[in-house]
Amino acid sequence: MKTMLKYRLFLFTIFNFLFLINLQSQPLVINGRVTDVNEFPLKFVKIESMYHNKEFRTDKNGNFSIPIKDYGKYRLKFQHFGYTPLDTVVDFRQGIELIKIVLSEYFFKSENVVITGTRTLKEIENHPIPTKVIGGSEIRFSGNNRLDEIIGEQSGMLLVEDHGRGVQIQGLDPSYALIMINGEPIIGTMQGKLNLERFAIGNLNRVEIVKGPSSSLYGSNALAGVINLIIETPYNDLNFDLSSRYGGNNTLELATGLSKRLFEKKLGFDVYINRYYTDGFNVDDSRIGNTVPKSETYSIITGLNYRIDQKNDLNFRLRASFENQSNQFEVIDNDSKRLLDDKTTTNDGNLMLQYRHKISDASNLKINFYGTIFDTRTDFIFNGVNDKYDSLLFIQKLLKSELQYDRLLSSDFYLTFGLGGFREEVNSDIIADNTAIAYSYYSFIQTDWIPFESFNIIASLRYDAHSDYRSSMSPKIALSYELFKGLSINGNVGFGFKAPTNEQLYLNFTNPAAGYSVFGVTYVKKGVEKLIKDGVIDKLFVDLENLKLLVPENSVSFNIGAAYNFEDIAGLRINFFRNNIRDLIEFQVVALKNNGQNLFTYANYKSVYTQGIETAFNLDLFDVLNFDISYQFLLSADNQIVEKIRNREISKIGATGVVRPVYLSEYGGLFNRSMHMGHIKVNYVNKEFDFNAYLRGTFRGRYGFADLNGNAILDSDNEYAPGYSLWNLTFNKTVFEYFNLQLGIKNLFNKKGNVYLLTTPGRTFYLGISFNYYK
Amino acid sequence: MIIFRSFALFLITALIISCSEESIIEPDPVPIESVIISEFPADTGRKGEYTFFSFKEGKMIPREDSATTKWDIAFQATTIITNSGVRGPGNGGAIVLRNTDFASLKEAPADGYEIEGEKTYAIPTGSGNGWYNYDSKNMIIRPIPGVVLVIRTADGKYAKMQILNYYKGAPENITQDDISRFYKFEYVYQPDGSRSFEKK
Repeated sequence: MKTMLKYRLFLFTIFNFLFLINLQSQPLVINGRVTDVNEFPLKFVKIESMYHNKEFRTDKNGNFSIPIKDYGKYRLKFQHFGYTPLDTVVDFRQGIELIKIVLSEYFFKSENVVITGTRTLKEIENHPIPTKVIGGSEIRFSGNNRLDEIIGEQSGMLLVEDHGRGVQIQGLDPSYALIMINGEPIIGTMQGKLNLERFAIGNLNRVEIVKGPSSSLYGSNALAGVINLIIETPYNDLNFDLSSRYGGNNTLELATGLSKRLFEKKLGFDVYINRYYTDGFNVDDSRIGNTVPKSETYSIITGLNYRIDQKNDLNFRLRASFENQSNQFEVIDNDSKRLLDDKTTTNDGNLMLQYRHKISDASNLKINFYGTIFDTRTDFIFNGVNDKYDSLLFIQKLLKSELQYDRLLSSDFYLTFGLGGFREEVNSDIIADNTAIAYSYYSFIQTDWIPFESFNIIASLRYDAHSDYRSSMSPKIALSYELFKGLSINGNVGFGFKAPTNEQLYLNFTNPAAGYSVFGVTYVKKGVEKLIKDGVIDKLFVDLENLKLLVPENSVSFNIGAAYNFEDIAGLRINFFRNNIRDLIEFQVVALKNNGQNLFTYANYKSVYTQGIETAFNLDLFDVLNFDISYQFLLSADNQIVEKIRNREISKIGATGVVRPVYLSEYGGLFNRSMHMGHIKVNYVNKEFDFNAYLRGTFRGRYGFADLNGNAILDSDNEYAPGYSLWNLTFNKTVFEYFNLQLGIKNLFNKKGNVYLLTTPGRTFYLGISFNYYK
Repeated sequence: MIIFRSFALFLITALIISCSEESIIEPDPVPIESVIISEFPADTGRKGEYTFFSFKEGKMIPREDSATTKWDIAFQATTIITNSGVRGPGNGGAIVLRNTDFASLKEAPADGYEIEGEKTYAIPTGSGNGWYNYDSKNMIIRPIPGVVLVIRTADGKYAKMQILNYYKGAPENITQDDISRFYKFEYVYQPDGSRSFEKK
């Protein structure tokens, strides 16, 4: 019997199948068993019967029995956490004793499953935490090759420049978004900001974007959103890629990738190597040197995954990148202008080792070890002579280990629990004692509960303790409700926090030209005491004993939205958001130095908010023309400034030349925020000729760039930079099955010269060819 | 030359005093005017040194006179001090008026003048506290609109002043390339000792 059963278990459509056995049975009950693909019985599987209009569940052995009146066809829906739902019709005839149902686990490859919002695989549809997915094909067809470019084309994502390129989400600065690779944090921030241009994207399987707070799962920096880059070994037997692209500013990218599955797909291996070179460019001819420097970057990304047996698997991933930049600029040295060569090397790497163990059919254990290092060194050398003018060194390391346990408690209640810790180390000339080491521990818990059909509620909580700043408790609750097929509403409330930056904690810096000093909070007491001893302090303004540990900047955020999908043809989404951020860290004057300059440290001060509406509309016309249009309306303000304006404490010189208070209606909120912003994507696909044309545009309305009238706030028309739009166009054509030709135009309308614009070289063209073989 | 001038001044003063004993004639009201001083340096050599100014003289006072009451205010980078308290022998002081129109201010306040203290300044230092705001992103100092500094001079008379610019050439659109520590300021000095700034 057993062999017979196995024999008949031939491969059906991937993993979902029905299996029927002949035997007589009475009375009329549909008996069945639900298992996974390895024939492990699945308990607590929810079974919906359309005929009974009620729910049944499998028992501990995965068995179920459903009473019926007659033989015939019955429609049953099987649902289980972590498994692809199965909606099927069972033909229950005389003689059938046992119906066997096999559910397949979610695979990463599936377009419909996401991980970032819950740390567990979950269907994207009606997900209480809306997740945006950028698929691998979009990345390749867009012709983008750096992370900032692809992120900047997504709805609600605005590229801004501050210590490199970052993304503003829901009106919050780039440092309020967490960037991860396979769920692990990326380091190498300057003033808390990560430069997205560092990352090659050619081998990303997908990018998941979750807007709104996620500190309840990921801890620091997940206030405005999380961007998770997912790289994994493809499930194909063999993949081989070779691509080359050449474009304006002498930009050349060469990349190759190979992946293979061996031993009945038990072992997977992938490697990707990318070389990127650009001459850079200069947008201001009156200045010596480049705005974007000449650079050469090598990246290597490799992974191994091994399924030891049905219960255990191991994953390993390594990523390393090496960048050399060179630039020139002028300095005034002893009253004469001299040319400096600026050479910067940046290396960063991360390594992840993951072990997954299936304890039972209803519980999983995952153990992760993660280590990452970032180091950058800059040398400024006088041109022509080998004299060093200055050099900067910055090294950051992070070691992390984490354990995550998932357990299905009943068919509609999924529990996730985790704990972990990490060690951070920073080495730099400009921090106290040149080294800082900190430790952090955390634990989190999440429940994913479906109390009744079409209603899903997810609650999570995380506690973070850190050696150098105050601990944080971050709860979040999210829910979704499907009103009817296609229309669902969702909302979430969550706390977020952002750890103080390395500078805010550890800095020991004196500006050689201006003479002021800045000390990080962990060093200020010791530092000031030392300076008092040295006799450099003139006046002390605060009592050193009263200086407090920094509180992480923290937020409470609200998102509420609705999504409507009409078949797969059209979709409309709308989301209202509000982020209240408190305890923003600012400079605080500690003392006056003998040279008349101040000594600063950092302290928690102000609070701000951002709020607005995001909408997105997509339409797919006959698989030929795709439209994706989004718009964001944003308001923001500094609460203290609003208060001051109400109290008539901020003035300006009015049109008549007389000083008058600023009106609240004149206040434009935070700088570098656009009230109006949007994206458009149009993709024309011609399947007959294996051709597509992909146009993307980004629009941003006017935004405040600086205070010009001295009152430090945005309140006057000339303090706004004009809005702009940037367009990119890419053509793809597939030839001889395995080859893809690409022609692209970046910055189609040649926007440049506007000092307030993103740094762009004007219109550039590129040409690419790639070969992709897979089996 | 300076000695000669002050001697002459002494003579004139002596004459007035001696005259006034007999006929109590009101002195001719001195017309008070708004004066603008441009490119007044404030430690441009970055040595931590002050430059001194007298409202009565309407010009810079040499550094040698720093211990006297010949100066009323002194500038060092963004710091402006008065001749009072721990920073000068004079009877000076200052009030920082906010949200006030310079031209419309008719009278100096009767009291509330701060003097220089061990840890305090008559005109508070730091961005947003005194006369300027510092735009830390663009690294630019700009005077706060509506701030009027009412100064009590070393000899107890009154002046009102406002800072107009902190950069050489007083550019309207200041950039990081502009050279700082050059004050442009406007003042009205009342030499008769009254608190009124109205023209008579």
